[in-house]
Amino acid sequence: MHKALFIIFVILGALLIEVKACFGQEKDSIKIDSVMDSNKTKAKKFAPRDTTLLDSLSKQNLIDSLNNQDSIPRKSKKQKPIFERQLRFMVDISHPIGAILNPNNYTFELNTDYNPWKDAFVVLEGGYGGGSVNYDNLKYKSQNGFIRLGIEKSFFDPLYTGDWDMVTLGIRYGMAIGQRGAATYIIPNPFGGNSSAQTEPKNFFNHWGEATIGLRFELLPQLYTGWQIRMKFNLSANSFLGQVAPNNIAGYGPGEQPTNFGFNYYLGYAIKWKK
Amino acid sequence: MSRLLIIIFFMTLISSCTKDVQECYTPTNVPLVVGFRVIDTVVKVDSLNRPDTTVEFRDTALYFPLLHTTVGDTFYSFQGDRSSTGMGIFLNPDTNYMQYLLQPNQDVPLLDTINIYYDHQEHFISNDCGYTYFYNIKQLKGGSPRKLLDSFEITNPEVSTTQKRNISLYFTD
Repeated sequence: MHKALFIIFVILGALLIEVKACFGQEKDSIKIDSVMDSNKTKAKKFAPRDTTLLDSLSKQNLIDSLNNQDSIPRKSKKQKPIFERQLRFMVDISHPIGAILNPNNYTFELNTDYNPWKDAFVVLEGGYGGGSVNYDNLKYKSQNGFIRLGIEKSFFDPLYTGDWDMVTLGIRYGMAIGQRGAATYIIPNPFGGNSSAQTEPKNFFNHWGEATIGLRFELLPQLYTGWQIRMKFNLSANSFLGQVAPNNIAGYGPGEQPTNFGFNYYLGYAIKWKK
Repeated sequence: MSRLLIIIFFMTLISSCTKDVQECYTPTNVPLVVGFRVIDTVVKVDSLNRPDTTVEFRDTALYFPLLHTTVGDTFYSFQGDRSSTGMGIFLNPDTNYMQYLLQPNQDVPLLDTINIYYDHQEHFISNDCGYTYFYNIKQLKGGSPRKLLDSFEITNPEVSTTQKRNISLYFTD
């Protein structure tokens, strides 16, 4: 069920990006056409003598006109639109504060994004963390590192040049590698005399998909803040079936859940340039 | 700026609110569910004066049924409701055999013996609930002579958190 939901989210995300891209292309083509029209006007005005309407009907003149390359007005090359680029580094501050309130779960996370397109970003996130369970009947620790790779698209067009405040939709693919330590547990006996045992440590690999929505706000020039809500779908949910699953897989959340919600609050800095 | 900092603070506080309380809603002691059924034989005569016998198997309600057992030096009694069609009992993971004495009515001191043979295995429920034992019923044996109990069957040998009926005890009407 969660895999199906993930696929639907991915398709919806792709459709949104596609629709936005189509609208963007339409506007660009109108601009290019208008530039070409103005070039044609200039050619008519400044180079009318190389050929006449009558001469152009004779074969000789046709060849001449083709040989005389200088007389043909050159089409301007399709130029890539120049727009402001930025490489942004952000740090998640919500999870470290959460770790102070609840030391049994901790995650440290960095976010980097870059806009190869005008209003779309390539995003790379990474971090590490872990968790511990210290109940009467179950005790263990776990830790892992993770990375996420994805894309983000601005939901609205910028209001003015240099408007970097935006609501974004995105998708991610994340993976985590870590180890759950040996788990000590007690099994109750209804007739008294509980028994205790220990499991072996277990290395794990977990991967998941995410659909995200977030907000980026330029607090001061080049200084950003924003949040991100994540819907996560575990693609390896059965890897802990019948086993002690880490209570916190950093980057994903509780390992025993097939789906998770996540929230990040970021502060960051961006390097900007025009290209 | 101060408003923004307040918003950031509350957003961060909300996001960092993760539970650290053990919340287990699954029984960590898995019960074996016993069902009570009756074999009801009705003999009638049809319109042509021929004997017409109907045998009906159905659930029956018992009046405060009791199942007694002894583990070590301790005597345990499991009691059902006023009109129970089933009830739960526990199995001992330290042994592979238990003997229960069934008293269908708490006011009538008639007892039938049931011997249950089983295997057990550890099962991880969740982080909050930890581990428990699941059981697999291998065999049922009744004592003799039988007072009220007619027969019995294993309905579902897997004793787990699903709490489906595991064994059925049949009484004659």
